[in-house]
Amino acid sequence: MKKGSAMNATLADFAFERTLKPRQEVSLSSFSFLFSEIVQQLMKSEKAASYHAHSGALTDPMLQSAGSGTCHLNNDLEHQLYQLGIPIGEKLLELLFYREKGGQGGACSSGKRETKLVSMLHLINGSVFKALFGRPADGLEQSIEDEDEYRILDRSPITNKFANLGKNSQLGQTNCAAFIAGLIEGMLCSAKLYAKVTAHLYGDEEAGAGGDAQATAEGEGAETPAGAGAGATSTTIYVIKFAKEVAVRERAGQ
Amino acid sequence: MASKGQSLHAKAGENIFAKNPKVSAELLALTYGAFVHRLIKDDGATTSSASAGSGENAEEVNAILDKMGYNIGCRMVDEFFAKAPQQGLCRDLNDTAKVIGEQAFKMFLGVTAEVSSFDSENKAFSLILRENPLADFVILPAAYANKLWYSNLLCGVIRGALEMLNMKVACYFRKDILRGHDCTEMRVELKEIIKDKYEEDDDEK
Repeated sequence: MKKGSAMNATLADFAFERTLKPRQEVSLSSFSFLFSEIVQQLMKSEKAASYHAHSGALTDPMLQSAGSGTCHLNNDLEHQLYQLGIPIGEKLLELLFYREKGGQGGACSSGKRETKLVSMLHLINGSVFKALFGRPADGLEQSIEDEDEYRILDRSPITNKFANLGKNSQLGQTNCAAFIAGLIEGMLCSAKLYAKVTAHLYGDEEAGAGGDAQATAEGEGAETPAGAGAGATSTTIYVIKFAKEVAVRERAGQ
Repeated sequence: MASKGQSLHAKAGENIFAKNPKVSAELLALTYGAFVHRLIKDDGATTSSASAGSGENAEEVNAILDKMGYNIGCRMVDEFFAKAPQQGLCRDLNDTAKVIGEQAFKMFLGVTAEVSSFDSENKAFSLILRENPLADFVILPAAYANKLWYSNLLCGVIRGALEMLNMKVACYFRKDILRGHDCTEMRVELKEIIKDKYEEDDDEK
């Protein structure tokens, strides 16, 4: 096709010239509709796949992850969402850094990228969440027991707002914020800060120390206020565990 | 009167869009793209014949996207009326087309679609999209370039929404920027208007 190469050049130009234009926004409902349909499709394909592989998530060859090999997810659906989020995060990192170079309140000043662990986390906490969801995340904490572990709080992740998988079914434990966890992991890994990110529902587990883990407190585990109201717990915590070599590199660099 | 009616829908669409909570359009585009990518990979994996990159499952992916859009459209139309309660009945297909293109698209996607190419019997029209938020940053691979309608979800949405309003339509893409055309054009054809069927009550009690 003789116009192949010329057409490809035009398409590529066209696909990327948009990044120079001001950022668009779409209504939250379109994202929610799309996301709920994606979840439904994944559930359907998971049912179909379960006829092929009887042991489910643990033998899934797609279960490759940076970090420890333990399966930290409740079921395959969360894993699918998580896998979906990773490439998105990788691309978002590039996009946000490209767009915000030198901008005010942007991701970086004068086109430099973040390489330090803590500043990258602050970036995600602030700019990234703000650019994606319109508001910064609600908290960033470091775990005292494990120096490599950090936590980002999100009071109402947009994925969970309108997606209800039913309380009684086995899928009721699925946290759709696994999608956002994958997104964060994609961003971090793409910035060479390899980590494993998981999403946990706050207030879903039994009361441990029972303290209020606000942004100033540092603690391990997901404490829940006793007698949390039913259905009111949509706060999600993204637990970020960095790989050993990243932590060593950070300490060596300081 | 035509131009005044036009800007009315567009204005209403903009107002509602401005009032509603929003997310980044890039997130939508990337999410959709990751999902379409996954569909292409998965469908290729389950069929044992050819590899996933050969473009053979484009038709299946088109069908899946259309079905998903249909489900979305059925529910989206309720949301549309909830957000725009003053929207009354449309007198004819012309009005319907304008409402979809100028108000609904604006409300949900933040872009407007032009209405054009009404056919002689007023039973079909085209929606022209200059910019498609779903297709940001997308380049179709060569194998799929002429088989996959990337934004087929939108066709399903329109089909589902109108079916909830008793209008059976066929909606398909004619042109797509991703294929190298100058704009994205969707053709909507009215097949029939479904009359409400009232079931016989149990008269004998």
